[in-house]
Amino acid sequence: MSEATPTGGAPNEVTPPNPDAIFALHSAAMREASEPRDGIKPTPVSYLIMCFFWVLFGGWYMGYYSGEFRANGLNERAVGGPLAAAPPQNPMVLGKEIFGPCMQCHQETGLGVPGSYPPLVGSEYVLGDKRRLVAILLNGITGDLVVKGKTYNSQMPSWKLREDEEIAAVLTYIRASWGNSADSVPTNLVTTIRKELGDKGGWDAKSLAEFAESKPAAVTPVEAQATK
Amino acid sequence: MNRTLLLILGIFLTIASSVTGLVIIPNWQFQELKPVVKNEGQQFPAPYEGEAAQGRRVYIDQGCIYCHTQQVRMKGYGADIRRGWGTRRSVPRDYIYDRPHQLGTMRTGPDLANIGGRQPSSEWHALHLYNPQITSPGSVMPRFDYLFTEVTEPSQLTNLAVKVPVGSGRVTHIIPTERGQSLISYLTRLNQSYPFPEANQ
Amino acid sequence: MIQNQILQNPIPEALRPELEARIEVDTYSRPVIVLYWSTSLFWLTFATLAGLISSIKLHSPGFLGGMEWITFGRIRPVHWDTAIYGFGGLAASGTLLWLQARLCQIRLPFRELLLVGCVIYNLGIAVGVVGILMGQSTGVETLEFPLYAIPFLVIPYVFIVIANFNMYWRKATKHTYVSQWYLMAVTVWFPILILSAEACTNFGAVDGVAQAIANWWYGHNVVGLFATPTGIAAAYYLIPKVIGKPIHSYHLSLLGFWSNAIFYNWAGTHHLTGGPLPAWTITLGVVGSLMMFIPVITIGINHHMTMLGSFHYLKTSPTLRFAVMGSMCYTLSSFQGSLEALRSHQEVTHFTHYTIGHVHFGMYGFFAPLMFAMMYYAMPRLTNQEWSSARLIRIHFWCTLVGMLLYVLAMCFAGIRQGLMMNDPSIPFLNIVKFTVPFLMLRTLAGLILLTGTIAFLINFSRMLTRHTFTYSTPTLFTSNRRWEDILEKEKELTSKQILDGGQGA
Ligand code: HEC
Ligand code: HEC
Repeated sequence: MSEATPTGGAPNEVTPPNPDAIFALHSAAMREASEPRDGIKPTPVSYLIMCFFWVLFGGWYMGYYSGEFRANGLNERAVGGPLAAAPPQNPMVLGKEIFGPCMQCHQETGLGVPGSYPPLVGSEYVLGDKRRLVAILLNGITGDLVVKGKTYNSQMPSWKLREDEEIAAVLTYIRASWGNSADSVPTNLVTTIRKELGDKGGWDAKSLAEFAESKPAAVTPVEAQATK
Repeated sequence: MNRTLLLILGIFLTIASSVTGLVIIPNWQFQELKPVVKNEGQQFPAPYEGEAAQGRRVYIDQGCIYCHTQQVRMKGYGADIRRGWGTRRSVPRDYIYDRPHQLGTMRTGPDLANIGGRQPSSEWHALHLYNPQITSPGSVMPRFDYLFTEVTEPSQLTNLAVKVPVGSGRVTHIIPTERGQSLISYLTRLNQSYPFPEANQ
Repeated sequence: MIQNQILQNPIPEALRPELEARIEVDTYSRPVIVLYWSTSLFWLTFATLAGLISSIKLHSPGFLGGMEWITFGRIRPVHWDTAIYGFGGLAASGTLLWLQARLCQIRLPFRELLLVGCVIYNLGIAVGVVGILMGQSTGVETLEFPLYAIPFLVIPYVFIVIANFNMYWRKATKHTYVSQWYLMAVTVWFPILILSAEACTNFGAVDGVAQAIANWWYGHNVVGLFATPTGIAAAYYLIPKVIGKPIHSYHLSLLGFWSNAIFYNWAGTHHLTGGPLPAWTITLGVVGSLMMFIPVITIGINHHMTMLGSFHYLKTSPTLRFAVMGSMCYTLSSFQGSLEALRSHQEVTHFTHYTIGHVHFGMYGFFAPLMFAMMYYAMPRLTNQEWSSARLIRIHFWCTLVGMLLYVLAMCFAGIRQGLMMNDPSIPFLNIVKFTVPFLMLRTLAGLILLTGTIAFLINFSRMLTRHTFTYSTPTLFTSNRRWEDILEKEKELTSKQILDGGQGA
């Protein structure tokens, strides 16, 4: 196309008496090609075969990952049998992972938030009696709580729904991080205490202290067995 | 003319098949899902009633869904459970009373399917909704301060008032409005803790 | 130049009927199409602004804070709904009516009905927007418009369906071109889609997870069975038309159309991967998405092979540039989408900004440019005027391309990192939030660039609607130096009397 030169709309320039003036007015419609048509290039057969196999693959994929088409078949891979049991994990690694949600309150550094969330570093609850520590985790605690000489009053949620192994791992982790160095918490201690607590609700400082003092004899051998 | 009919019929059949496959059949399959009723009359999941139902409406009209999901993915797929967003995967039965559903597709913020269990404190929610920067500095969650009345004089205090940390100007406390209160009770109720057997897949 | 040629050389008799028909069809459909398109551009601007506000709010939550009606959770759905129903719906319907009238070579029927319909439809969107801002959203993604806005959208669409069927039935041509199949399909699919989705969500026919499936079956299909076919139809029309060659292969057209029709509408459930759905529904979505490789490659071959050997036209033709950008992004974004549906991919990118990046790749890389191409091509024919400024077209094109690419790249990269971090439970959530903030700012920048392009287009477009004083005789091409200033210059020369006369004489 050549350079555009605007031919203005001044009357003398337009519309000489020409029967085709209507076409001139529609110059845009005039200059275009006819309506598009379909070409007839053949489609390679190999392409069609590839498409065919792709559809076959889709069918196989559908069947393989169907979860047997059940309303409750949530896991597409469980069709062939139950998932293999996960291998046991190093409690420090697992514990660091489980600690993720705790960071929201106790912070990544374990130092807590002054005035709201107590520290885990150097805390007598963390480093002290393991039985009491597990009890806090399992049932949660509310109300005034004195940690390292400061009083906190907020709500620590219950972690009852976690696996025993996970609770043991996270406690092992917080007892041995940021300069804390206490021994690990065995899984079967959590199992025992969970049984002991049954349906009990959350703690407050008083009921927790009572619980900690009422050391039943049955627990000691478990602890001894685990630490040897 | 024949070809036209064929074209339209074909077009119609494609959509009819997917309406059947993805709308009608799943709905029919889900009819078999029933809540679990315990001896004491407790029901899992329970329908939303009263304040929680009202709070759910606030959750919807504030558009929390554009930043939050309410679905926990299974163990080994993503890190939802390891992040503590839930203890088991979500299952269809958790949602039988959800209308409209609020599964969500975006996690600008954390999953909220179990927020009631994870963060049971109403005061925390009040402070967080009033100004997320108080509880979570650096958050991009907007303030929902219009769901609260700000208190500057001790005389205005009620038993619902929540103390605001220093640094919020003259405001010493906030009191949730009716909508704010219902939203908080909805949030603290969100909990998929009942161990449905099908969640162990 | 051409004008002069035409005036000098009489039109060959053989061509006359075709040309006369073309002019008649265009003249007749002018008011309708122009109304649909100009209102669609209003909504495009509106949606872009709403998107920009949500984008800014996401990295600076204090922006326009304290106002409930404009909180993120409300302005964000307003953005998407006005983009898809406002811009998308109106631009696609205008395209549909114009293309069908032209390809059937008959006058647009029910003109008055369609005009009234357009007004009602716009009203419906406005009502829906106000509803969402007032907090009456239904809370179902892409179906947020409150129930009372729905009749305003569905009834006018019924007019469009009737007009489309009517034209197709009475068409003056023997042959049916591939674009027409897609246009017919859209008008069958969309009403069924929206009615069944509304029934499932708003009328409450189903609850819980079944509703979620219906929701995303719709949410994906409103893009896949409404925007996409219209876009493909436009590409099928414009590419061969502008370069004056037939489309590569009729058989590929057939294969592409039917495989698209069969597979696309199953893909929706991949939006819920990992969710509490029966495995088979998700697998169905994955398979549907994977099978989309067939139509996408087929349609891609058909478009790109037609272009082969004619790429030099891209230097000059605005229409072609937008059309080719659209068809290339169609291929690329569809590939991305098919892969994205895989479970292993979704494990990382689901729930992240990656999805948002993909959506904009499809909508602003593929659909919108094809609608722009359509307008660039058709508007001069409808209004008998040329685009007033080549420079504005250039700005529009480069802003669209650069803004879109920046947007998509920033969001996709941020999304992948965000997803990987989210899957590592030892990274605190707030760190992830803070990581995404710079990318969210980049997105705001991209949004500003897109807005600039839109404004350039708006200026050019509105000149066309308001200037009836004079016309150019040659098309506005990228190589021309036709500028905005020329017009102002010209305007000064003409007295108002002359303008009037000129307008009537033209
Ligand atoms: C919602 C915030 C929150 C989360 C999440 C949380 N805690 Fe706590 N935690 C608290 C509060 C608040 C207290 C103090 C309770 C009181 O004031 O009565 C506390 C107390 C404790 C204590 C005893 C006091 C101390 O500082 O030693 C331990 C131990 C503890 N939490 C461990 C954990 C572990 C382990 C996790 C993660 C599995 C966790 N917490 C998650 C809020 C939280
Ligand atoms: C712009 C996105 C956005 C919107 C909208 C939004 N949030 Fe958030 N939300 C976040 C982000 C980011 C976080 C993580 C940081 C924080 O705790 O503030 C978060 C965190 C939360 C948390 C804490 C979760 C946890 O595990 O600690 C709750 C509860 C919450 N939001 C509730 C809501 C409610 C209720 C609404 C609607 C009224 C809402 N959010 C709207 C972005 C959003």
